[in-house]
Amino acid sequence: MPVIVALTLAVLALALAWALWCAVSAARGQAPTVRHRYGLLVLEALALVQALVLGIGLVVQGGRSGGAVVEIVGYLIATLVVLPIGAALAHGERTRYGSIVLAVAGVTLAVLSLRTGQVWSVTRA
Amino acid sequence: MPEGAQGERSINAGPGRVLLVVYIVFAISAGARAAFQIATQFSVAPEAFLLSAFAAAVYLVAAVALARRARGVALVAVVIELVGVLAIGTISLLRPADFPEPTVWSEFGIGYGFVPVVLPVLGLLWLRGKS
Repeated sequence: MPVIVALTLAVLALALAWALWCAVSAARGQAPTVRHRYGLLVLEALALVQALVLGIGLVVQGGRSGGAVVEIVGYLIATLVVLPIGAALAHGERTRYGSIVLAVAGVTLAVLSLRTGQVWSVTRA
Repeated sequence: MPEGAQGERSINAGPGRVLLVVYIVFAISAGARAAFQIATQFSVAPEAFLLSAFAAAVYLVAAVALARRARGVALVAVVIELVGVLAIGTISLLRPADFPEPTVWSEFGIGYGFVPVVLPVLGLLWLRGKS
């Protein structure tokens, strides 16, 4: 199902772009702004769409081993919690390091999304 | 950034906050991976999976210690982490047969972008300057 892999790659690309934006802000000595946070909200919404689509896909498609389903669900849960964790840690860190924290969370989301797509592909029935 | 009355910023602020987020990410990812592997394929490579679980525990201790500003505990955890990644990284290169399944510290953390070997060094540098 290439649509699923395309979705995970889209999340990966946007997460990387947002992380780069945060990293550039950090390099310029800027703390996270409200616009960075709007970007985070958009990304989180996208991660939620990804989790819903893949979750439904798991149920509809079937044919995967129990272990593969657990692994994919585990990755999806991780994609949903990483940005809130980053936002919580960046909150109150009103320096450039707050921006780096957000960048780390963004890169992590990108990696998790990539791994989700890989596991989805290799465990296809 | 206003400095507190204590002068020096605490170990979980500034760069310490960045270390904290990385330690949390590694505690969760190494822990989830170890739990999954131990639950589904423990007999394949029990030593490797137990080692992953140990590494996850070290990351968790370091993360909690950083968050709670327990410098001493954080220092111990980071030193164990450094020794672990250097030892396992070396052994995994010299005797790959001992590591049929990769762990977070295998080959100095190559599967994780070498972050596992860089992280404890940055952690030591950060904690060293704090009192």
